[in-house]
Amino acid sequence: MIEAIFSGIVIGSIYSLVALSFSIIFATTSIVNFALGEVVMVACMVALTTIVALQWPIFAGILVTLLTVLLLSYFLQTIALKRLQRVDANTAFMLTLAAGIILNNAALLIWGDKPFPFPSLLGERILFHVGKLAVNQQGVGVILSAVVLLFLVDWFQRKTLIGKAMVATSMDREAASAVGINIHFIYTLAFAISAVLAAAAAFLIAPFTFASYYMGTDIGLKGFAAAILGSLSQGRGAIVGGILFGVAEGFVSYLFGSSARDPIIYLAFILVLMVRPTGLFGVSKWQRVA
Amino acid sequence: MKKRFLWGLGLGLSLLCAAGMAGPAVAKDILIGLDGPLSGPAASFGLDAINAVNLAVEEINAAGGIKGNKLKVIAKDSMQDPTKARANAEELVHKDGVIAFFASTLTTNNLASLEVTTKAKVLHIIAGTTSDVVCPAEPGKCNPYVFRFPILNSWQAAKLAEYAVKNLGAKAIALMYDSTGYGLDGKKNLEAGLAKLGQKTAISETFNMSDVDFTPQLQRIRDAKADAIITWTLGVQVAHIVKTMKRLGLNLPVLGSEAITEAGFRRLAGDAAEGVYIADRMASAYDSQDPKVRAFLKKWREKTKMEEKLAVPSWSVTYYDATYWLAEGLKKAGADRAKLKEALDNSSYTGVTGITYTFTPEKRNGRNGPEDVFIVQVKDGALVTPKK
Repeated sequence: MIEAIFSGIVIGSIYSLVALSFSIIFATTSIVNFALGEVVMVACMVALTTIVALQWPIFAGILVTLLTVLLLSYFLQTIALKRLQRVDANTAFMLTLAAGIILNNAALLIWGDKPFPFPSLLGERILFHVGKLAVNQQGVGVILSAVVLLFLVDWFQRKTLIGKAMVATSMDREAASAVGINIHFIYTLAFAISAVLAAAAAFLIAPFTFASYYMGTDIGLKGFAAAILGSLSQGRGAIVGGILFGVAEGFVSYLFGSSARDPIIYLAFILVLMVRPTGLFGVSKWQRVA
Repeated sequence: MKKRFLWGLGLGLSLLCAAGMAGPAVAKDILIGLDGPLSGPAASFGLDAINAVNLAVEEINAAGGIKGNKLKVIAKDSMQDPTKARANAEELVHKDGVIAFFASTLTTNNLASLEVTTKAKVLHIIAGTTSDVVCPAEPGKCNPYVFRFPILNSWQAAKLAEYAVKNLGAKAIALMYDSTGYGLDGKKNLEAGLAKLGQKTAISETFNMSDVDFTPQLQRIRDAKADAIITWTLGVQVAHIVKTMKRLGLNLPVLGSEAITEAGFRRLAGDAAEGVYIADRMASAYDSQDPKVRAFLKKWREKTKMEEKLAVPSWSVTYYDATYWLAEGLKKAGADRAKLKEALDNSSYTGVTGITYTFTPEKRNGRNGPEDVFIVQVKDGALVTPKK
């Protein structure tokens, strides 16, 4: 039991990164970036190519990976938002979905259909035992990195001026614009932070899942579900949603086996949303009548 | 003048015709059909197959072919689509007129093409598929146009169970199988194998192909105090399992079916694959001293550009052997479908690694039973004969 919960927290903290990634974009721009899972995948494949195949120093590999996803996100944001959101938010959703499919197929063409082993940059040694639970470097490293990143983003949003501007934009776009906040800059920033979180998630999850062109779909779906569960518009809610989702997965598969896992989890998911349509920690901002 | 020219022309032409009829037959290619997954997720199996058949065909042709006639392979891609496999078989059998047909490595595709080959009375050679249903081991139960070269899943399962109990001394065996047809079939066979040894499984754990975290299952296996794990799934999943075991500090012997002899498993699992036991259709080629095997491995590596450790020709060896066996039949019976079948219905052939395949009108599986299954072990990334 304790092992399933520990591994649930480890995986869950990666879901949290992706969930927050979804949430940051949604909160500021009202767009669900369905290409996010594929951004994680691209980050992973670029890291694999630079660090493993080309044997670049890890630092350089991380830098190139970050640059790639930042560029990719900027590109997405420019088209999805500047051009299309003015037309219709749903069109923008569709565009992110299409971008995801294109990225997925491009990756298949570039890297082929086989999964690749991805090195654990955090080490794999077992550190100590708590009862039957073997606590290993990778697990602790994943949790720590995720916590640090999540804390940083949270701090940035609450304590810095730009961060506050971001929160203000997510609360009321028109009002924020009226007080002189450059909304387009905030959008770009949201996509950039989201991309960095996605890249971090890629580095953390790939040693578990291996790197493959199809890895993005699963992590994207779970991160999105976690964000909805917590709250799509509240960063902290999304974070808790991620951890909860991971732990629930481990817990349910331990008790009922992994074939029962998805039906049970998604059933619970629906029940939660029936009771709290904006997620466990959501505020019902969307029900307000103008 | 004109008349004489026409006479001359007529005479010349008839002479030519006569020469054509009476002289030695013009060399004609003998066509062999091959269907398999040449693209898509299962492509590596199909590409191994075609590489192996081509390797044998090149050698046979270089050595003079079949009485001066060259062998030629026509390969078609059916990916994972049984309808495509059927259409390919139709085309190869009826349009191209192949003398024999190598069926896809995938069970459903194999079965889809079997109807076509049987109706057309064409040899249906199975050199990849291991599932029992395509040609059951019981005499008389298998389609008479089938000739199968690999070992069966039920044999692998029986051998793995026996190895775990007798050689590794396991008393509480855990099974881990995926939720596909392959996994469920494996579970059934493994349970039967263990029952024969008077053992019951300590615990059975299943999982989905998309799973990446096997902690819950492995934890339950630990709670059940199992002392060995037999897996029945593909390479990626076993790689996840052994990696998770390493993270959990769970140190138990792991055994697996022939599917994980493929290089991908060892590449993905890295260190964690060390020590895993695998059922294989051939003895370890890596540590073989037999010059024939070494020569074959060398040619195989040149053809596939694989490094020595990873190159395991298990899948391809049966394709290679089957092609030579077919060539021997052709030399005896000529390129006639009916005569060829008659000649091969009672045949025996010893392949490049020393494996002997025997066929009779009732016995359509070239190999004999669980005793023909070899156990190999991962050591330093290569598949070797276990030291026990």
